[in-house]
Amino acid sequence: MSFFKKQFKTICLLLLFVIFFAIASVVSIKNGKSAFLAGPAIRSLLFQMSAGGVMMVGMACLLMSGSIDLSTDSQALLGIILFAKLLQIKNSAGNAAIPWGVAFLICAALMVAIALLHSFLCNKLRFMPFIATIATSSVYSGISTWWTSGGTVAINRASFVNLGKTSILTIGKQSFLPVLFIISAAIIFIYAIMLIYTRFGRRIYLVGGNPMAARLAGINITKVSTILFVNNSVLALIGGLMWSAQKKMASVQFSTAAPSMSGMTAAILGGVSFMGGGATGLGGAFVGLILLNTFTYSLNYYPIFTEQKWDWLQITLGGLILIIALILDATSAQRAHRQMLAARKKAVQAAASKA
Amino acid sequence: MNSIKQKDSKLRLFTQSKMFSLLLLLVLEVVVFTVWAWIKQGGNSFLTFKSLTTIINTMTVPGFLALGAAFLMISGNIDLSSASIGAFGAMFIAASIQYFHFTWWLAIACALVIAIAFGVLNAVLVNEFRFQPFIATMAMSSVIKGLLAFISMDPKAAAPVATTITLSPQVVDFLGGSPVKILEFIGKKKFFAGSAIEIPFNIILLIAAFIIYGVILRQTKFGMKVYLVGGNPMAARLVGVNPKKVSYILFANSAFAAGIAGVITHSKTLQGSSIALQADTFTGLTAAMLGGISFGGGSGGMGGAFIGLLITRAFAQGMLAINASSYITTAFSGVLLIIALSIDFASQRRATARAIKGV
Amino acid sequence: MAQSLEFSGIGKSFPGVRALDDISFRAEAGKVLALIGENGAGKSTLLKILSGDLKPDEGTVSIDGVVQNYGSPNDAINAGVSVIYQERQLIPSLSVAENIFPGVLPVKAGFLVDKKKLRNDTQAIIDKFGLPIDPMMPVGLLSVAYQQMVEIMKAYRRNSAVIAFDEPTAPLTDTEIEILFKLIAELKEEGKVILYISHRMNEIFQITDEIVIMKDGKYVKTVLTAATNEQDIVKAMVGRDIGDTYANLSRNDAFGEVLLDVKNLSSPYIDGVTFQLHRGEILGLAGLAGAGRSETARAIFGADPILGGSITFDGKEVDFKSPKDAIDAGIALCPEDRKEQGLVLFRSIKDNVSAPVIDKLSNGPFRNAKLEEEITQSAIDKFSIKTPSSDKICLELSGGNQQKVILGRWTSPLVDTKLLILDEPTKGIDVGTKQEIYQMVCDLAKAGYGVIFISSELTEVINVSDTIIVMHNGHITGSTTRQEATEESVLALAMLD
Repeated sequence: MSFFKKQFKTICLLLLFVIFFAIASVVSIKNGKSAFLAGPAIRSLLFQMSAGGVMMVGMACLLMSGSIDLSTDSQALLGIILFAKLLQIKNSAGNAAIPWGVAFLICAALMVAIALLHSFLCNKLRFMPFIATIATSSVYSGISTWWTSGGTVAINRASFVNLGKTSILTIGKQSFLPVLFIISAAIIFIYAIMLIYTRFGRRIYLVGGNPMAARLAGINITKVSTILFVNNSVLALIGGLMWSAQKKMASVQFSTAAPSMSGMTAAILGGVSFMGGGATGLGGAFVGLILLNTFTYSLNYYPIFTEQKWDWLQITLGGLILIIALILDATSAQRAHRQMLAARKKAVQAAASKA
Repeated sequence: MNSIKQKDSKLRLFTQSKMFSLLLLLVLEVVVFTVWAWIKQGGNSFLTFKSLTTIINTMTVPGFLALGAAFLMISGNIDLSSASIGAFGAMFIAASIQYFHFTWWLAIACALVIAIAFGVLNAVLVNEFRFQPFIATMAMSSVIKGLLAFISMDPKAAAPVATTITLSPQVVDFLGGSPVKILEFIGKKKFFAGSAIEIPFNIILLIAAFIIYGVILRQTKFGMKVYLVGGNPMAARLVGVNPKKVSYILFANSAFAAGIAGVITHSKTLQGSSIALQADTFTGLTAAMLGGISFGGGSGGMGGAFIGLLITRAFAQGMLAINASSYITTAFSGVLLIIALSIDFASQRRATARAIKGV
Repeated sequence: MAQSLEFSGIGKSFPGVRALDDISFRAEAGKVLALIGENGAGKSTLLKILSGDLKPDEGTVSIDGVVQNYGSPNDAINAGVSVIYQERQLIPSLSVAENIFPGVLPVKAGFLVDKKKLRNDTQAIIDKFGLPIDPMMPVGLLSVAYQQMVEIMKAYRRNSAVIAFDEPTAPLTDTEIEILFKLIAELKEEGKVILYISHRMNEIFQITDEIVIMKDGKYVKTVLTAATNEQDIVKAMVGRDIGDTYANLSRNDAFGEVLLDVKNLSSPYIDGVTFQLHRGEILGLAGLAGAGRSETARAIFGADPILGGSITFDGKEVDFKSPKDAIDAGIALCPEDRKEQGLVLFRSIKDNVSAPVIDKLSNGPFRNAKLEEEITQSAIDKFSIKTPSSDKICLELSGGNQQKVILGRWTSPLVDTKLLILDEPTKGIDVGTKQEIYQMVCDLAKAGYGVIFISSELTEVINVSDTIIVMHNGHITGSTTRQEATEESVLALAMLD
């Protein structure tokens, strides 16, 4: 099967991305300079994509294994709030007591605990993952909002916050490639390799595609599930911290941004099967990510959309795009099913005419 | 002799039934909170008329959401967009009256029609495109939230922004005051107002609705079909029921109930707001599940859902009585949901085990 | 490589049924042993014990004299046993190579999958069997036949010493069957122990060395393929003492006019089915599993799409788009799987009995509780359903009573059923209740219903029905009457190609 045929969908999405990018660049030209194709704009876009990209990886892995975690955003929120609070602890001399690396490890431990709880609920108690995680979602967001009384915890640690500001490479004197995005892309790349080229990665597909066959092949489904939950929660923390570094705070605004949900949408858009298994790696998901983010972000640069009255469109589009992507998937599945029935009918007729 | 035996077993049937354990749970909850509040606040701060009336006052909106959710769940589906539909309805009424001077009945009618349209869309996604119900309704939820922001903008303003709309006095005057009066009746009218036992009008609507739906479920042919489809869609098809038709009607109904919740929300505050009903998405689900609506579909009833609603509301009120912060209450609502789920799974397993032994 | 597989005194019981009783025989390496028997003879149960899916109540399975003790199917696989079922355990979106090496992909540097080695290793296996399959192709795109071969290659890769095939040729065309047999010959040469379960006589005579015959859960005998013929085998498979079970049935002798006229009916699963059914007649559909009997019933009932042919019912040509159309016309189906498709288990007997006629019971939107109770009660009486009340949920009834609920549902006065299709009505039911059901079926015929009686139990079908149609592989192979039919003749037709 030729490479192009296999990657047809991804190439289409990539094309769409290029088209949207081009349109935005052209349409935003003011005074002979494109406002979109400029350092600050691209930088902003890439910053936005960093957190979403990392969280997309965690969600995609879960989806491929036939599972899901809808509480990811709330978990991350709890994580970053803990992080911010830890950073505020001062020692007797009035200086910051905890280096942010240590704080990170402590928060990661929390995420692992949460993941283990989810694994217990879904594997031992046999709750359906989506229901269990919807329930735990309110627990985590409740605790988060209570802890901050609905407000914000500022983060001032220079060494941490700088990560959120640094970018390299320039277009016309303005740097546009944030370090965070590089980290994010690196993570996506590593996971993409892992999924395709390691035994464990292939196991994820086995579990998602046919759990019975996976078990018969000797794979410990509970172990795989637990690892993926832990993976998702820790990645969620990292994504959340990326967001915090940029905004210099931990706040419930994070929930409104809901990066894990848009990450999940991007993955599904890129072909990650919602029902588990499937054949795509993270390549399609990554293209889905940049397409989705570019499209919604670039809307800000269309002259007619600059007025605030078009904010609503951005909110609507997320859901709309997901629906359209899933409809397209569904109709192609229906078509495939019909073709299979037709083929089977032909085979039966051929066999009967021989009998 | 036979009649005594029958009566005895009827009593036993009741004590073994879900309703009984639910009522027990409710009583238990009340006792726990009363004692706790007494210890904490040094006096009876939970089991008061004031608490009761607060519960009743805040019950209606989540109540209608629970109604739609419960009915839908019995058929084996779920609707995560109902809260958004309700919020949309509330905003629509505010916007149409404020910006376009709709009369009150036109505003309400249009809001409900649009809500039903959303419900039908959900049904299309689930039935024709074979979406998973939760994915379809979750995606629709974001779409509807966006549309909500859209209609909240004042078309005449120079730079329209998404906003909270409060019916302004000018509009009220312009329309002769009637829309507000009617809406206020729906939202704020209380019988025996000011006394210890004031009863808001909308709670009567809620109770009436629960009774009507309960009757539909138990006594009508359609209700039977809902149970059949929920219990075993394949078998239902083989006895001539049309599962798709049932699904469409129930999604539309869930949206309609959400619409009513929206109407009432608006009527209480005379406002349309983008954060309305957000907290109530899971109250409906939790109430339904606590009330014995099995998540797999096919069993449970309106009576149980109503008690589930009471339990959920009493819980929120109880948390207030012991001075817990609202955020912690949210957290513990999640725990409540998990408990509800565990009860559901456990009882399913117990029923199947009992049956297998009996065979 | 193992030299022998031995079953010793294997016994297995399920509630109400003794599935296997003292099964003992031995299979040797380098030979193909056929396992033959009617449905219900116990073949699948034995296979499940072999694969570790079930534990025997008595007896042991030994490989090379070593008693095997499997805690799970995984243990059996590790011990070198592979069973190739009809339902494939493959993952359609993954490649052939990944399906052959699930979880054990070759690695380099400790954790990176060695794609090249994977491809080469897979290609080696493919070449050994001489198949035109691309190792990296997604398995879902292969034909059913080739998918089955991937399963075989998986077993081969596992180096299984014992490979059992369960009805492997059902979905295959002639050419594909030839390829399969070539593979089996290769495996034989490699010295594997091969078990082959099939209904198809010509295949058995083509590739097997020995034949083990089972009947009613018991071992009958082993014969050398070369030393026997079809008649002897069939004779050994049937021939049982049925006593008075059927002699005392009070039957209907007067048939009415033609009720159902099926001409050349085709669906995705059946082809060219033609027959007639009269009022008051019991038409039996006999055949072995997969013959197409249930599929015929579903096509007539409107549950499966019709691709060709015509159905005339009660004088009118009909085209049912859904079961509801069929029900309205007066056709009723008691499905094969009464728990999955027949009853809504969590609902009461009353709900299940009144289900088809809810709309007819009353004029308005409300249910008619009184009428529902009446028809339920009359069904309970008519069929002697053992239950304290009509509100008991069906989950708590025994299999026999559950079946009676379904029968009651379709024969209540308001349903106006003219044709009753019964698919495996006595499956999993004890002998005593079976007799009750046989008499009920005859009574229904007497009352003027047309009955289509589908059963895999040959004895049952030929002794209860008036006319018997035999199916195989999706089409009709022959027909006979109760008076003329013998188990042997019907079985021969059921295995005819």
